[in-house]
Amino acid sequence: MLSSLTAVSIFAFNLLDGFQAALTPRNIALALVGCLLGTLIGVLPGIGPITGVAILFPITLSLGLDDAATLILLASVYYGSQYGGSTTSILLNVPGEASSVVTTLDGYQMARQGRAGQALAISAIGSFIAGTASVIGLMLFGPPLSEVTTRFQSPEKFMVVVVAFATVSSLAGRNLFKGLLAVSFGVMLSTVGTDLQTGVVRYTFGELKLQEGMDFVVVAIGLFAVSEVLSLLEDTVRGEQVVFQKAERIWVTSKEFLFSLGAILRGSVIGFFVGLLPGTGASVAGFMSYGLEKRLSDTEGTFGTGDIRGVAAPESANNAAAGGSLVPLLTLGIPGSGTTAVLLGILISMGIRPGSGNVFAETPELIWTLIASMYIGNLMLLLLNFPLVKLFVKILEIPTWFLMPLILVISYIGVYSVNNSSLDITIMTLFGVLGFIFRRLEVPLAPILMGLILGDDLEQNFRRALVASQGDYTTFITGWINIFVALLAIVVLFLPQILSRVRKTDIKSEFADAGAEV
Amino acid sequence: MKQWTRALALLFALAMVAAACGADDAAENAVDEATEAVEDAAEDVMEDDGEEDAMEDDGEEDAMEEEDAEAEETDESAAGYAPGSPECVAPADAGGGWDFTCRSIGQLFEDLGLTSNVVVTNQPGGGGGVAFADVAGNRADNSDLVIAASPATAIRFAQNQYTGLEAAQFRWIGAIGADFGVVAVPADSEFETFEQLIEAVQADPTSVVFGGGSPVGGQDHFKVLLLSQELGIDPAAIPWVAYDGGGEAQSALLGGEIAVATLDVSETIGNEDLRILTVMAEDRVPGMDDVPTTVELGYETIFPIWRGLLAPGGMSDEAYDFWVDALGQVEASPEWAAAREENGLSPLRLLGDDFQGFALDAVGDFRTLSEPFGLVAE
Repeated sequence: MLSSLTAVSIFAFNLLDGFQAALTPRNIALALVGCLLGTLIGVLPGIGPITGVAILFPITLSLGLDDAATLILLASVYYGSQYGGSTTSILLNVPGEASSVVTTLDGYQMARQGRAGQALAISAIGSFIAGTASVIGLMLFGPPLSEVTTRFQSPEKFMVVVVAFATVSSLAGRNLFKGLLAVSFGVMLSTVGTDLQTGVVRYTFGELKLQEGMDFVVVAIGLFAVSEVLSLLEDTVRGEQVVFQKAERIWVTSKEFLFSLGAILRGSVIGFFVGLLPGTGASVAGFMSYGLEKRLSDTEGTFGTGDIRGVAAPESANNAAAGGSLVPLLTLGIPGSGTTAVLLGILISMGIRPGSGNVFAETPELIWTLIASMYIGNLMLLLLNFPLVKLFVKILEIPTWFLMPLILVISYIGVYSVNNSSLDITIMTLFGVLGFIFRRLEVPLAPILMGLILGDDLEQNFRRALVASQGDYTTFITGWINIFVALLAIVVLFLPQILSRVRKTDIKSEFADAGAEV
Repeated sequence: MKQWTRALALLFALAMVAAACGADDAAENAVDEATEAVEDAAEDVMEDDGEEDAMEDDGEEDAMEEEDAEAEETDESAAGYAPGSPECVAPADAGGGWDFTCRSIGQLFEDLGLTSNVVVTNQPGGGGGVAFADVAGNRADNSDLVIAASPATAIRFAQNQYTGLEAAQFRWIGAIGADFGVVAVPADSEFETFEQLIEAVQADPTSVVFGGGSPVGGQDHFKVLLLSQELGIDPAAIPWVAYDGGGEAQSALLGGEIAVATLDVSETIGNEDLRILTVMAEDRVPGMDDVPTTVELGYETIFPIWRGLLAPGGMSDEAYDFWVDALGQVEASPEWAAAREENGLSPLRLLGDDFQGFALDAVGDFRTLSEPFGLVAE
């Protein structure tokens, strides 16, 4: 007990170091820029956080920023876009991103009743409280779990990836089959390049550049940004329009705050623990906490008609989950959402390989700076949003014909700047078209990215385990960790199906809406 | 109005696609050029072979004359050639071993007054293949140019991974400084000496699982292959687990997934959790003075991970001699000794023809050992 107390105090100390690193004028400026850009990205229909982080990464590279600065900027973009997403959920009934889908239920109703200001305010306050809680949770859970996972050998590492794939295919998209299909496609992409076990070069078609494998940034920008522009072009041609509500003043009375406080706290706790599950992200957390809050406190049947708690709960939960999902990300190397998958890819490209080493012990400066900057980002967003929300809403008036080509230009320049390779441009364009087709077929895209990033771990650890055990397949279910993880994979894969059978309600489709773009 | 804006957006998108296609064309051209270059290079090899055959016919006579001439030439060459715009190509991104070779040696060329400022060019891609194809195809007779190399270069030449290029197409200048291979087990391992390990492997090659930070047919695996070749054990029978780098291999070794790891001195020096059974070198290396070398134990196999330079095949003899001499002077300088130690490298001095012979032999060995694994590309 005493040792764990000293351990905690050491982490707190590291967090303070992180704050010290994050609080230089340059880094504060970067966090501010990141929050503003992120909010912009979140507010804009069409471009979500994945797109935002993916297209900004090559740009930060060409700016020559160091690793810590890059992480601070991109983490702020991530947080900012979460925030911006809620804003459009409330004002437009259009979730800027998947994790704020559920916010539309009560948020838009509140806006229609002229209470948009309160909805926006409680969403900001709830997010801030939840963000604080999840940073504390991360401090408590991250380093000890990281200790444990450094003892993982190939069979354990393989099984953990299996769980991540099970969760993401089961929860993303409407259909388990399509989810698995998407993951498998991603894993197939990951086999391009030099095979680590045998040194054999696979599927490069003689391209020397492909020997190092598919570049995830190129694939991510193609799949998300380019295909998003294509989809939006289609919508524009079809003439789909949105109507938005106005927010006069962003405020909330202390009575309303106290009324929502329970929902915020419960949402924070649920969100954090849902975030801990490898492969689940903020959107699932939002749905779960909304569901729970509805069952727990909706005695008068006001949920869905503009109840402030119906905004507070999911908004706190998705923010807490974003923090919680950093735990599997930093300890196991398993991202909880498309955006954190991109973050993982970025960490790997910086030479930080969560899951195969204890990142809290090996690169504490970077990791704690990242955590501290997320917290600072949270605070900054709270301060920014109150005065600036009207300005953000104005962004919605930017015409699509200007915005979409701009995004394309940024994407193309960004991708080209990473490797100066025209092959990358071709690959990105191909994935853009592919992503567009997948969207039409309702095949979820995030699992493809997860498959690409984790596919190598899956394959290499599987083969390592078998060579090391001399071909004995029971190595994967030897030891309590493996058995537990195997059971978890089965539960995660089939529980949503079974639950919806039993309750005859379609939980899956609720999750699906959330997970469509996890 | 609305239709106008739509048309504009469409136009813009079309322009983007057109731009992308233009880039494609450029790419194709580049690829075409590259293939042409490679084909040219291949033809050159054929021609070279022909020339060599011709040389051999009257080689005996010439040899005497050449030797006589050499004594005079060395003096002259040092004075007769100086690179106008010296360049060192690191066939990888900044930050790796090849980059280190170019930067540290290039800096010393300049500091010791041997050359003017050495420009370091990073040319990543294809494990060095992009850089070698470019040099062989476009700058094969550039005498101002050197390229950083290591055993990884030799292995890729051996396995034909530099499509259409052969090791003999380049002039190997020299290697100065090396990391050496080690055979490591956990500190509490049942194997207390290298002999015990060899006995166990000889009794049943499948019984001991080896691993390291490279694939089958990569640097770490060759340490096992070369030893098993010397011991007359079928190398394919020894289980090999490949990890993503030496660090990952070490944690697998300490976690008990593999019994033995073949790593490098610089990766393992001072690690109390490991027991180093042997260093794959001739002489004991600084910092591991209590560990016997393979040569001491009666084996011939050594594994230096040398740091060296090679040059385009068309480099003039005067220039080649100049670079060999310059590299020798760098090796002898106290500045290099300091840079070498700082980077965990042990001393090594292999220059000129000695190095050319050593490197080409190594390429031959690597090729013979790679063949059974199907790793030599057509």
